[in-house]
Amino acid sequence: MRDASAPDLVQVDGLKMYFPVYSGVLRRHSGDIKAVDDVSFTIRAGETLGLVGESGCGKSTLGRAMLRLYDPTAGRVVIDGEDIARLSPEALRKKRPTMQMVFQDPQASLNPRMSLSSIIGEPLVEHTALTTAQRQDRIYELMDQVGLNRRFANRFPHEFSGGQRQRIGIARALALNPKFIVCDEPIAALDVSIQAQVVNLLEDLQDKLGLTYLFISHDLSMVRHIADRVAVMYLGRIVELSPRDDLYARPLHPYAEALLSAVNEPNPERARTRSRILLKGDLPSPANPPKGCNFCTRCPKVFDRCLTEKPALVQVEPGRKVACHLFQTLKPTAGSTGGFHTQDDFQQGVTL
Amino acid sequence: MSEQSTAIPKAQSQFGAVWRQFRVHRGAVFGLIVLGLLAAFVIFGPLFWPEVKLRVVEALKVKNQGPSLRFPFGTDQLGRDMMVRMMAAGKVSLAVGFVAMIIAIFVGTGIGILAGYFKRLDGPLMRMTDLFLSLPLIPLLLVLVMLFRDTIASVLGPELGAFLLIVFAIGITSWMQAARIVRGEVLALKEREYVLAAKSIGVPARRVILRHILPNIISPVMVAATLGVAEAIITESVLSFLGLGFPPDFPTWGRLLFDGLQYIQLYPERVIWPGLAISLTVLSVNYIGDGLRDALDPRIRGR
Repeated sequence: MRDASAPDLVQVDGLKMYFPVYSGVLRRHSGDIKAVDDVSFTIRAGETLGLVGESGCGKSTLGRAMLRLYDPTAGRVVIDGEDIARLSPEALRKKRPTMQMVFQDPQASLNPRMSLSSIIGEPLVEHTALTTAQRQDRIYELMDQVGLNRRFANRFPHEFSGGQRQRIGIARALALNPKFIVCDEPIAALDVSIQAQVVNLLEDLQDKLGLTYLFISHDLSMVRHIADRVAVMYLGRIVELSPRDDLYARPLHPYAEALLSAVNEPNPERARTRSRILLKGDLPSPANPPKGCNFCTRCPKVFDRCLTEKPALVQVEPGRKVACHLFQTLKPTAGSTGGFHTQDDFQQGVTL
Repeated sequence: MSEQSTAIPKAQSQFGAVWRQFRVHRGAVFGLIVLGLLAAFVIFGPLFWPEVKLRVVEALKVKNQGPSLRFPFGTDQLGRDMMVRMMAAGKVSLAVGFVAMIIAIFVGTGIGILAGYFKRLDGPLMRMTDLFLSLPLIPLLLVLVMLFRDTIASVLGPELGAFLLIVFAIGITSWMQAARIVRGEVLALKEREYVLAAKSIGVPARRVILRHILPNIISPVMVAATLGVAEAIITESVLSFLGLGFPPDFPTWGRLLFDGLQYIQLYPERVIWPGLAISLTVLSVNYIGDGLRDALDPRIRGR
């Protein structure tokens, strides 16, 4: 972990993002799609938090709700001391430079009718009072930073390859010197060889500029490479939040275990002997999640309590939080969290 | 690096790049030339081919003549020079066509963008569009003209008054298609990630619309606009035919077409001239629109 004592830059508290469903002749409000359901976590300054989970589990929605591209239903998102979820539009606009986003599809995230320099320069036009010449200098500087040739400045997005386009997207996100960047599957649409380049670029920039990332991905090996801590999401809830090495060495939550067993093993000797945990059934609908634990319909270790009671995300080992009844055999009481992995020291990250 | 950075190509002007691509499009250049010739014909033609006032007896002698050196387009049933009438008619028809199209496109695009981008306005605005679509057009125009013709004519004079009223009436009753097309496009575009990216930068809604949405809906708007010109010219002629447009002695291409229709078997050229002029206008405007659409798209321009 880069710096265990660094203060929290981002603090998400009970964040809920429900999309209302209207049905019937009168279009009455008949339910909600619970895309993100009561999610809490923190990200320290300079840290990379990986967010993994299968398609449709709410990863991207969480990332977008955190930057208030959607208006969250409930909860707080404190970034650098201010609650994003409650800022007025004008205050939010002023706050925008602190937090930026890199998008999944580099083709769709660049306006095809704008030249590269006007794309990278757009945030500068919106938020700074630079003269045209100063702005052009800053654009060149950003292009150097992400490894784009300055001579590309007047070209249009369709003239670039996927990796180059993603670099343009990163340059745009960097333009206003943000502290926090949400990377929404930035490598999912790229070739494997380009993926490594882009991830290394993100890491270099983090070292140089002290950025904090929320790295959303479904590529578990890439998350292992870049993240300091990893949150595993299932059906709108975080089921496990652990330091990277602990999670990959010994996942606690049954879902995390199943997910990690799907990672490809490059060594064929070991690949032959590895055991995959195959989950049965489909992801339940987020409009109608199970009454108890969200994972109880597919969990190989399900027991009675799972069907009736939602497990809370509690700390079961130093720095590791799990939402599973298996680890909460003792009823959690106020002030302490029970479990058979309980240790005396709850201080987050001390032994890491 | 300093060697290289000095060699950075200057940003070429947007207009220059668009014009260069436009010239490549042969149809568009052809359209521009034809439309230019038509415009020159109706604007400067009367200077070189002034109307000759004939006495009634003379006029009766030369009525219903075919094309000749004295009357290149022939004469009509009252002995009036068709060429003079074509020039005067063209001025009005082209003006009506373009002004009505511009009104319709502005209203239609505006309403379409508002309805597509702002969810709260979508319902009311689109129901209003449906309402306009469901109105029977001709009776509506009849009522409109009947109610306001005299009032406007008394203020602005009969010809300018009629012109404004017709342009307004056609514009206000033909924006609905454009509004629907634009709304659909905007609904699709506003979910694109670059619009989301602009929002995450903190770009206010009006600049998101101007910078990211408007330039990307240019092609359907262009198509709607070029078709709108033709429609406006024809609608004007329908109105004039019904006696609600311009006064009967005031020529427009549509009017000449309808007048000539009665004599189509005896003197077909009287229908052919205005018909040809309308078709050429529509065709050239279509090609110009096509060329402009291509020239404004950097993906095509780059090739």
